[in-house]
Amino acid sequence: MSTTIDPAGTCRGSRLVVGIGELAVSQSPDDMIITHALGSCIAVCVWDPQVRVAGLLHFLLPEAKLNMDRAKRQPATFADSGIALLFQTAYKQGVDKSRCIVRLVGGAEVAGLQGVAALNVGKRNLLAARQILWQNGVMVSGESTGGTIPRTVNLRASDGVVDVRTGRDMVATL
Amino acid sequence: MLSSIKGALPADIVRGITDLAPLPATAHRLMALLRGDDESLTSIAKLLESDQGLVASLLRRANSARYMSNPARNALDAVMRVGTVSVLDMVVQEHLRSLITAAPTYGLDENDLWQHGAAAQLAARALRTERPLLQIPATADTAALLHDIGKLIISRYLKVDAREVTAYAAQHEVTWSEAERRLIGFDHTIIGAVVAEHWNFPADVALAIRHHHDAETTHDSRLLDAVMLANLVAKMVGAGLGEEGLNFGVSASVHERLSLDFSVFAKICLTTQEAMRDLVAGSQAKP
Repeated sequence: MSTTIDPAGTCRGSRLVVGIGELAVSQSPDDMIITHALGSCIAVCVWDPQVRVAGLLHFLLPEAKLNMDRAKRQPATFADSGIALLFQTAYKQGVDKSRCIVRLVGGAEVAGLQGVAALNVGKRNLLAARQILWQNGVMVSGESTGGTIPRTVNLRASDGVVDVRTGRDMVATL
Repeated sequence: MLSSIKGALPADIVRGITDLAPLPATAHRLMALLRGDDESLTSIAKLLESDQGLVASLLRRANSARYMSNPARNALDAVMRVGTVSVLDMVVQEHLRSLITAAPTYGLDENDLWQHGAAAQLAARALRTERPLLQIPATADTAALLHDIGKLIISRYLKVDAREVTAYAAQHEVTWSEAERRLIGFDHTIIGAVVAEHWNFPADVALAIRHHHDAETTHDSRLLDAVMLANLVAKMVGAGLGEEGLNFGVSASVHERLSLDFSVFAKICLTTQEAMRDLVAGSQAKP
């Protein structure tokens, strides 16, 4: 069953597809949490091995203050409001932040725009995600970030493994 | 401008361009009106009336909350309310959707190419809303919609291995379109510009399509800048990433020419993403 998750939802199903500004949390071992078309966006993947809960957030921009109205309607759009919501949702499933294994995927940059701060969404997103997690005492244990490639993420709710692909090619297993 | 380039293209590609289903007569009449030729809204509305589906879409847009509360009752009312450029965009968009097939050369499925164009069109419109003083021509929306049409032609008529292009680009540290040029002799921007010319679009639309991946530009064209930015925004919101991903050329000073800082750029991305989400949801809901 394929299910798209509204912001701050948990869902039972075997294939949970997360779009931009959405997140999913699952404690069903049969579930696969998937997100596509990660360019400059970031997927934050969390896994608590003790309660065996997996969660994935797909955010577009670094800060809610860029559009507070949008942040109220869809907090998962931004790194700060979205990561907070991801963890709050995961806590309801018994997740403990101190046990979380966190991986980041995405944050690609446009060729030739790496030094252009006004347009470098990927770099800003990556820095925002790392900073927010660090400020909250959460270590990032793995990344597949940067470059110019688009990425697709499969997060297995059975064991928390993150497979990262570009097109048909496997890029990383985190 | 493009006749010399056209002469150097493979015969299959040239045939593919000329065989491409022509734009509806309505589109040409609308472009004539925009150029100031002797055309009337009444005659254009009469022409539109022959396409009931298009009239229905036009009336829905004209009667949406964005416009006045008095309902538009017919095609002429609707055209007068939404404006000729919006009608042109609708006609071109419907035509593009009817043409679009997958572009496997670029790692794009049937929806990807159309959605990328649609997202770019929405981004161009959002840019014009944010920066009205720049007086970016409204035809920037149409140019943004069509900017990657060259990918459709190349995918249909040439056997190009996308992974070979991607590997070449990575190995030689060049952009995807530069890898295209080196491997096949031309790139999708050239083909797209020839298509625009074939369809009698204004010269500045063809120019914008031709140069939308130029890292350095000598063309002083707000329309070109708008299409560059629109392509960038479409990629930011994940529309049509394909094999190219974010490995494309764009002028590093386009934001300066458009007077954009990060917060305004982010606003345009948000507006585009939300509009795109609604557009895709609406198209999936159609019977």
